[in-house]
Amino acid sequence: MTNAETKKHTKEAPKNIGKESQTKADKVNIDAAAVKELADLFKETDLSEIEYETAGCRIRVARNFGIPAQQQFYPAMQGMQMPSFQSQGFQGQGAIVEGTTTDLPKAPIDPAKHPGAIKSPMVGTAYLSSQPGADPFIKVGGPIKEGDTVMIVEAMKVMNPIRAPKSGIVKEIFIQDGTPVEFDEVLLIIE
Amino acid sequence: MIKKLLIANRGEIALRIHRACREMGIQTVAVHSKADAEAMHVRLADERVCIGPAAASKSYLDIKSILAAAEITGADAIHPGYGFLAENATFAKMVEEHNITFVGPHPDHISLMGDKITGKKTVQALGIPVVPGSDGAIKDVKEALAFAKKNGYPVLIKATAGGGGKGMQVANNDTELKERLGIAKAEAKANFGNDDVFIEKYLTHPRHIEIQILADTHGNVLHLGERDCSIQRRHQKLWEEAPSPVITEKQRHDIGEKVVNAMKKLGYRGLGTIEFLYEDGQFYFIEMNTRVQVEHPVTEMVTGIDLVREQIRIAAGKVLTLQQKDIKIRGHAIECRINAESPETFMPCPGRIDFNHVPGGLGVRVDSAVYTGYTIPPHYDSLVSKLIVHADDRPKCLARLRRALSEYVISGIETTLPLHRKLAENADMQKGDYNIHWLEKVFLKGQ
Repeated sequence: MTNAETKKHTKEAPKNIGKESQTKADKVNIDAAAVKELADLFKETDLSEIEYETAGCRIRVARNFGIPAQQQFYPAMQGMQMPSFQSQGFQGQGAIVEGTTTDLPKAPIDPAKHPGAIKSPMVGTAYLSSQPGADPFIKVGGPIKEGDTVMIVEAMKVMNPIRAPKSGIVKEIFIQDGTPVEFDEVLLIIE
Repeated sequence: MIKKLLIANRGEIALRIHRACREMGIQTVAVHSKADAEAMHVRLADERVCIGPAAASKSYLDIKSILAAAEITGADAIHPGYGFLAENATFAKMVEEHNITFVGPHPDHISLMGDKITGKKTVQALGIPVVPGSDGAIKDVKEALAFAKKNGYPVLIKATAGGGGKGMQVANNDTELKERLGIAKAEAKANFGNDDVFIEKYLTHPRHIEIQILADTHGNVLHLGERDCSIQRRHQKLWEEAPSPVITEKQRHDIGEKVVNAMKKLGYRGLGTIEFLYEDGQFYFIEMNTRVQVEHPVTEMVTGIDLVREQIRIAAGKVLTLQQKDIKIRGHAIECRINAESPETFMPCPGRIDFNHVPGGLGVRVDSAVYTGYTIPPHYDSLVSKLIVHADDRPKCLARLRRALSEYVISGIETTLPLHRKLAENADMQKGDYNIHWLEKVFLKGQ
């Protein structure tokens, strides 16, 4: 096959299609105002997809609603971006199982983006107290000082204390005592 | 038997291991870095654990995190794939100390072959041919001349403390040897503060031929013939085939038998590859790889044996069900490594794959973990895909390869596909007339 043929294929291949909106129009002549108008129409009508065609130009605007997606693989040939799976973390003591993720939308606020989120620096098992039966290091609503131990993550029989990077109030704890955590998983939020 | 296997790798080999496990009814755990959350093997695995940031040193090379992931998921075996920790004896040892099955050889054999000098001495003692060389430093010119007389010219003079080509001289006759021995010594002294040099036979046009072996824990060892991996650039293999266009049935049998006997004596277990330079009918050991190889599919295609499956069965203590007489080399197979690199400059080209169309049809196999919309992260190696074709004989295999390459489309990034298309058309390649220098010194120079 020659390079020219390859290029031809490439051109026919679907272009990078974003998840939130999809437009198919001549590369340059995208009518921004029309798209805007269609987008506004979305809000009014609560539709999830609008397609609009005039001579030589077709605009399709689509948005995804929160349909909890089973783990699903779209055939690559469709040229669609695969659903983006959020890091799903562990469910209780058991390990995570295929199909437990939801695709879109995300929770109203992504805890990972919260400025007060404390994330696990390693994969391991998280403990909320220094030993079984002892008082937990932290409580929701309780005060916390910079440098305080908030949890322990055990990896390979080594107890690694996780310390608060700043002082504040514990807003939310996401981890139960003795559960596995992944690298970068949000453990708690301080405000 | 193994119930749950943790795949301590990424990319196509992680997917390859997952596939073998899925067919064997073994649950899989994918461990991945932050950069690989969208990777295909992560999507397909039964369980996934993020073990660290994108940097391999803090994820795929982080022994502590991988073992912690095995612990929290209850994996009873770890497959290291190739690269990363695959030939790290400490890792293998720690895995076993945690009562987890390591899908690979005994840690001692990994360290033995990891040290190139010890490895060479070991296999030589076990009857495997090595490049003839002086035993340690050359004392004087007389000794050097005697060596050359015995082994023939050309010879290579190397600094014992050397590396990077410093203090290396080739001599083609007695006069040159006398002269260049002095130069090599002076260079060695200047570069390494030590003028000790040794001499070995210099191979001018060798091929890279490697023998695949399979050994169980019950004393059975099989060889699965050779792979010819002479098409290389900077020691990176780009094209591999089985069988080699130049090895005869008798040569295959003879070298195979030597290797099998050596591995039996060593008590080796698992998959292994003995790499040789081959010139004028002679094999010279280079090194042994104690893991699954990137190019293992060509052997699978001509023998019909699933090497990863066998590797896992051996790790679980099973007996090899085949005997040497059952191993038949059928037809011909070629693998092209398609890298995310410029086909001209070989500069890496990570990025988003806008469109991925893989070829199909009889005798065509694609081992790849990429898909349309996948972004190749810049943190790891550039292997995108392995295209493997199989046919009744080499000419038919080349025809099928050209056909498959013409169907293959990967757009959005640069790949080495155009290079492979040219190679598959090349006259020397049709004849199988190439050696380890051919790609760089003949083909690429002519471009």
